[in-house]
Formats: sequence, structure tokens, C-alpha cells
Amino acid sequence: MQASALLTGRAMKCAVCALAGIVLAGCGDQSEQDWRSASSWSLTAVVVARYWERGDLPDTYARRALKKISDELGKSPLPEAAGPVDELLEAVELRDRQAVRRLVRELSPR
Amino acid sequence: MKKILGIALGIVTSIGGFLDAGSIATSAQAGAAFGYALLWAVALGTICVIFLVEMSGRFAIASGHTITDAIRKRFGFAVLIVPFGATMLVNLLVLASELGGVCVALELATGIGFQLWAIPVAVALWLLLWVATFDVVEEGTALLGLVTLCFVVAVFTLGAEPVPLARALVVPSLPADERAHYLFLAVSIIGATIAPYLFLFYSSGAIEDKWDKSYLMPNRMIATGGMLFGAMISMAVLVVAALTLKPEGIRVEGYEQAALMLVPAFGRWGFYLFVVSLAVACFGAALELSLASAYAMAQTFGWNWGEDLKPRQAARFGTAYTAFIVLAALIVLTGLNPMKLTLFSMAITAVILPLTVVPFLVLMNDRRYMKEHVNSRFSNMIVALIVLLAAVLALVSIPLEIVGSK
Repeated sequence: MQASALLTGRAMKCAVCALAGIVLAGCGDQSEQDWRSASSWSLTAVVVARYWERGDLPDTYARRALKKISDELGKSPLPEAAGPVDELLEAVELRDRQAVRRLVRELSPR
Repeated sequence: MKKILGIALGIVTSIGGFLDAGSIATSAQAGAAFGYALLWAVALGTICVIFLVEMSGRFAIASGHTITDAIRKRFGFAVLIVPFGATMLVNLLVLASELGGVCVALELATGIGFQLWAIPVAVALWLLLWVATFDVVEEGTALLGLVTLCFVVAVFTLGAEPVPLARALVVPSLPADERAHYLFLAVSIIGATIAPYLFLFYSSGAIEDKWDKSYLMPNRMIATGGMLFGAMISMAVLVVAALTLKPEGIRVEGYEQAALMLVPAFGRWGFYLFVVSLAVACFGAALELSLASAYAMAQTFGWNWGEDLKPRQAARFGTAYTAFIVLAALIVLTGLNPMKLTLFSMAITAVILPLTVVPFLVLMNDRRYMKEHVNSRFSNMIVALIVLLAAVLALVSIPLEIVGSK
């Protein structure tokens, strides 16, 4: 099964909102660093996927990096953000470049 | 002609040996978080390290002593034990950071977890120290370290604009946001640039290489040229991170993120260049650190020392670096985040700098050791000011960073 098929439109919207929330999260005080960190990890996932899709990163690194990002986001204030990263990881594991391209397009901050 | 070749080799090895886990981690994080804004910290650290390295070479030439040895003779064991204890503790943390850097590079390349590499890397490090001569350790790894020049090439490939870069280099600025983290990174950068092991190793190297007074000018040229060009690589890491990671919103919290920084400049090769640079730079620094720590220990306790001696001629010296490597490998095995460990080690380095540098400055002004080669007032002032500034900033910013990261 193609990884892209796993994504429903609703789940995708939630994922994009979660990521946008993280990216736009500006100033909390106590958890400000956690938000910044989660935002950074989410954006790293998009960049890793984009470079992998272009053939600029080896599979081993891309898989391991996405797994680590998913773990980091799972511990973050918004664990839901790990969902789209898991989708990316699955697509990379299946070597489904088309799905990765689509996910990257949908997840990239505008 | 031989001396000119020696100077050239000295400068080249200083360049190749300049970058280590500390420089890579602090510069990458600073560039990704604050753009060019922290370039001044690299510049400040570089000015200080040029003076310190030149002084340590001049001291070895003029007095025939290494710094540790002379501190023990001049101030006594009771005074030496304070900077010695602090330096050994920091050296151990930094050695663990360097070992961790090599292990992470291997993890990035193979996908096998970094902790599993701790023992093989430690054994390789120990074996090389056990069998190699000083020249092989110093020059071999530093020549391999020239691969780190890829960061400088990337600056040109990515088309960095020179005016904002030059401005950030000479005009320190304080951001409106995240000031505690900014100051913490500034002191970590200074700590990474002025690592005490660097000038302690250099002074022991001058004795190992039997430098005499004819080396006064080469020493000055190697210290200035080597450190200046070496610092350029550190700055290049910061600039590349600012150009490639900051626009993507990536803040470097792990080497996985830093590994992306050369991809926009070199494509797939960029990833491999980063991995090789990290591995080689950290392995070279780990060799120097193990030796520098063993030198310091042997010179403190008055043991026989020298990398060119057979292990049986300097058994306690060999045991010292073996113990250091084992302890550092154990720290890596605990699974501490190597990048966090590196950043904190560098900041702590800045705190303890005065403990090593102040007695050294006293020695540099003592005519019984230096004769006509004592320090100028200008050199004393520059080094004392930068070191005290770094220590005060570190004392303020480390607690703020710990509170902020909780």
C-alpha cells in the first residue's frame, strides 16, 4: 500500500494545523523553549524529507533522523505533531518519493 | 628552507587541528539561532587564543619548561592542584564530547547507535596513542583535518554577503529575544576557542620538538597564522549554519540537524563532508586532549613523560591517557546527548579559564623564567580582560541557561 493512501484529508488538516501552531507559537514564558524546540524539530523533518526526496540524503540517515524527530516531538508540548513525521517516516521506509513530495508540500510552512 | 617548511607545516596543522566538537557544536547552534550575530564571540576568542598560544610557545622556548611544570615549581604543589583539578575535570568532559562527536559521526554514516561506537572508537584512539610518535599524532590528524576547509568553500558557494558578515564580526549586538541563551552561546564559543588544552598541548609540543631561541619568530607566525586561519573555519561553520539552517527555522539541538548544513552547498556530498569533518575533527581533538591531559598529570606529579618515549619508559604517562580514555568512553556509554554535553563543557571551560590563565600570566612576567622575553603590558591586558569577561559571562549565563532549559 502506498504511504500516501494512509493520509485522510482530515488527518492532514489536523497535522498542518498542529505544525502551524508550533511554528507560530511565539512567546510563552515557562514553555517557550519547548515550543521553539518542537517547532525546530518539525521543520527539520520537512527539510530531511525534502532533501531525501531530491536524493541528497542517504536512506539510513533519513530514516534515523525522522525516527529521532518523532521521538522528540512525542515528548514535546504538542505530541500530535509527531503524527505527520511518522507518515513521512513510513513513506521514506517504503521509498515512496511521490508521497514524500506531497507530504512535504502540504507540511511546508507558507 | 627547513624552517620555512616547518612554519608552513605548523600553520597547516594548526588550521587542520583547530576545529573540534566544541567549535562545530557552538558555531552551528549560534548560526542557526542568531544568524551572524555571534561572529564577534569567535573573533574575541581568536584574539585571546593567538596571544595565549604564542605565549605558551615563547614560554617553552625561553624557560625550557612546560606551563604546568613551571606553575608547580614557581607556586608549589598546593597552588597547582586547584587549576590542575579543574582543568582535568573539564578535559575529561571535553574528551567525552570529542569521543561522542566521533561516535555520532559514525551513527550518522551507518545508522548504528552512537553508544555502540564508544568502545571501538576509544580502543582506536588508545591504540594510535600507544604506537604512534608525537609527529604522527600532531601532523597526521591535523592534515586529515584539512577536510574541514569544506565549510569555507561552502561560504563562497552559498554566496554570503560580506558587509553584514564584517559588521557582525566587529560590532557585538544583543538580540531583543532569548538574551540568556545568546550569552550562554557566546561564552560557549569563547570557551571552545580558548580551550586550555590547546595551549597546554602546544607548550608540551614545543618541548617535545626541542624548540630553541631560533624558533621565537616561527612560533609567533605559527600561533598567529594557524589560529587566525583555523578560526576562519569556525566562523565558516557559523556562517553556513546561518545561511542554510536559520532560514528553514532549524535550531541545532542535535548533530542530526547540523548534518544538514552543507547539503544546500554540495548536495549529497555535503552530508558526507559533514560526517567526515565531524569524525576527523573530533578524533584529532580527542588525541590531543588525551595527550594534553596525560602531559598535565605527568608534569604535575613529576613523572617521566613524552609521546616519543616507549610506553615502558613512561609507564605512568601511558596509564594516565589510558585512564582518561576509559573514563570518557564510560561517559559516552551513559547516553548523554553529545551536543548538550559539548555545549556545557565549553561554557564550564570559560568559567575555569582564569584558574589556568592567571598563574600563566604571572609566569610570563617573571624574569627568572622569561629573561628578556617577558610579556608586554598590552598582551597582559588583552588576555586578562578577555578571560575575565568570559568567566563573568559564563557565571551569569550558565544558571540562566539551566533554568531556561528546564
